[in-house]
Amino acid sequence: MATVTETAAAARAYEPPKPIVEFWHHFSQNKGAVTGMLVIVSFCLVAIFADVLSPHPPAEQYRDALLRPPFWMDGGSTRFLLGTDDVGRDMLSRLIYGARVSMVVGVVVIALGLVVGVALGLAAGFLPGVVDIAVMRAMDTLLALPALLLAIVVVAILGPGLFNAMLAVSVVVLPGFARLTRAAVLTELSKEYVIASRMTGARLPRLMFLTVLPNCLAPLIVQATLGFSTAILDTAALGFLGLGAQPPTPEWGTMLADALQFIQRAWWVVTFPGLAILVAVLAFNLMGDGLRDALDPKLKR
Amino acid sequence: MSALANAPSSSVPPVIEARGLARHYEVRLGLLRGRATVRAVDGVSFALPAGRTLAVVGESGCGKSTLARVVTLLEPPTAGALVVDGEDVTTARREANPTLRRSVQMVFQNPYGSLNPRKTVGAILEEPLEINTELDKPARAEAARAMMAKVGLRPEYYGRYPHMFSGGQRQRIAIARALMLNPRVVVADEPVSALDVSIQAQVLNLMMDLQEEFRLAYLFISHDLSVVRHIADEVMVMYLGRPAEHGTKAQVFEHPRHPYTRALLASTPSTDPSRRGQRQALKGELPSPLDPPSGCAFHKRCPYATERCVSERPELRLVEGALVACHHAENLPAARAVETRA
Repeated sequence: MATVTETAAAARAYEPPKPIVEFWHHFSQNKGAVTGMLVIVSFCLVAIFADVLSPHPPAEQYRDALLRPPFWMDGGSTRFLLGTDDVGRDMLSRLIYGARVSMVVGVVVIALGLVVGVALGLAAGFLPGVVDIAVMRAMDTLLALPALLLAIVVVAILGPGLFNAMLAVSVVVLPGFARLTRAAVLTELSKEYVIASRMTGARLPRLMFLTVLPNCLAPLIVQATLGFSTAILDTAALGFLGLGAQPPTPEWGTMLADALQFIQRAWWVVTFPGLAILVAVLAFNLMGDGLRDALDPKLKR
Repeated sequence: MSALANAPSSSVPPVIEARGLARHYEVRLGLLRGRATVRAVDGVSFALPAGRTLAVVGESGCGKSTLARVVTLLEPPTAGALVVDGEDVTTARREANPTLRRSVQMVFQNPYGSLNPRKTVGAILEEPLEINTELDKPARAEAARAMMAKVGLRPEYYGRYPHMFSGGQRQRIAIARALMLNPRVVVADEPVSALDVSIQAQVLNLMMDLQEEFRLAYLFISHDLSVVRHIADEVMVMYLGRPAEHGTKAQVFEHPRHPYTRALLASTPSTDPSRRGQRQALKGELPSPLDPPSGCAFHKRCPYATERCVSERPELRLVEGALVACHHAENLPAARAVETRA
C-alpha cells in the first residue's frame, strides 16, 4: 500500500525536464561532440578577443624578421612564437585574427544559404507543379556549374571583396540546402501526422514551419556543419584568386595560398593556417554529429 | 435512391449523411495511350445518427480508405452530396470550414505515422485547440489532461514523446486528439489493424465507451470481420468502389444476401473445426478498377452469375429490409445451404 502511494506521489512530482536541459543531457553523452564544441567555443573566444590576445598587430611588417621559424627551432625567438611570414608579419597574430574572419565567413555563408535554401525547398516541396519545377530546375542549373566557377561568376558580377565572396559562396551552397529540404519535406508529407494536422485545420504556414520543418532538421544540421568547411575553403580559394579577402586581411585560406611558394624552405607558413582550418572543420563536423543525435528524439534512449 | 439509402437506419435525424458520393481519379496510362478514369468510390449513400457505428468492409482496393478521405473532405467528392449536421458541406474546403473541422475527425490506421515525432503528447493534444479555439495555454493544458484521463493515459505522459509509447497507447493518444474538438462524427480508418490482437479489444472497448459518453457517430473502416461484429450497428460491404450490401449487423452477418458478402463471411477463419471444411474460397482476383467488368462488377467471380449480370449493373434495392445490389438476391439458395454445398 505504501509503495502505491509513493508511486502516485512520484507520478505527481514528475515534471518533464525543460527541452534545453534534456537536449544537454543527450548532447553531453557524446564525448566527440563535446570536444568539438569546446574547440569551437575557444575559436569563438579567440575571434572575439583577438585584439587582446594577439602579441602583434596582424598587418605589421617586421623588416628585420622575414620568414623567422617558430621559437623552438634554431633561429627562432619568443618574440614571434610561431615565426613570421615572407614579409615579416607575426604568424600567431595573423592566425588569431584569421579565426575572426573565418568564423564570420562561415556564419554568414551558412546563415544565408540555410535561410534561402530552406525557404526554396519548403516552397518546392509543398507546392507541386509550377513552383516545384521552377525552383528545382534553377537549383539544377546552379549545380551544373563547378562550384568555384560559379563563385567566380558571382564575384565577377558583384566585384571582388570579402563580403561579395561570401555572397558567392552562399549561392554555391544554396542548392544543397534546397534539395535536401525538399527531399525531407516530401518524405514527411507522406506521413499521416501531416494529414492529421490538416484535419485539425492547420494552414500552410503552420504545416510548413511548425509541423514539417522540425522533422527535417537533422539532415540540415549535418549539411550546415559540412557546409561550414566548404564556406571557409571556397572563400579561401576566391582569396587565392584575388577575388575574395583582399590583402592584408589575415584570412586562413588566403594565408595558405599566399605562402605556397615557401613550402620547401619555410614549412610553418603553410602548416599553421592549414592546421587551423583542419581543426576548425573537424570540430564543426564532430559537433554536427552530436547535434543530430541529440536533436533526433528517435535516437534517444 | 436517397430514400432507400436511409432505410436501414432508425428514424433519428442523422448527423452525417452521404448521398451518392463518388470519387474518380484521372489516370494517365502512358505515352500515346490516353487517360482512364478510376472510379475509386461510386454511388455510396448512408445516413448515420449520433451514437451509431457504420462499418465499411471489403477487401483491399475496394475504396474504403478513399471513402474515408472523401467523408472527411480531405479530398473533394467528384459527385454526390455530403451533409453534416444539416449543412451541405460538399463544396466546402476543409481548411475554410470550422464547422466541418470540429464536427468530423479521423483516427488513422498506423499509430506510428499519425503522431508527430517531435511533439510531446501534450502539444499533440493541444494543437486542435490552439488552431480552433480562443483558450489560453493553461486552459488548453487542462483540457488535454482531462482528455488523457478519459482515454486511459496517465497524467505524467503529458510531456513525453510518441516514440516512448507502445502501439496501443499511441492509438489512445490519436483517439484523444480526434476528440479534442468534441466532434460529432469520427472516421476511423482501420484503427486497430496495426495493433496486436491482445490490444485490439482494449482499444475497441475504449472507442465504444467514448461513443456512449460523447454520443459519437463512427464511420468504422475495416477488413476484419470479427472486429466489425464487435463494434458495428450497421454494415456496408463494398466491392470495387460500390456498395454491394448495406444493412444492420444482424441482417448482414446472419442473412447475407449478396454472393460477395457470403464469400467474405465464409472466408473468416474459424476456430471451430467442424466449420473449416465449409469455406468457400473466391475464385480470381479483385478486377482492376481501371477496367471494371461490364454489368455487375462481381460477375466474373460469382458462382450464380447469369447473362443478365454480364450486361446490366444491379442497383441497390431493398430486399427484406436490407439494401442489396444483386439481380438474384431473392432467388439465391439460403446462406446455410451455400456453405454446405461448397
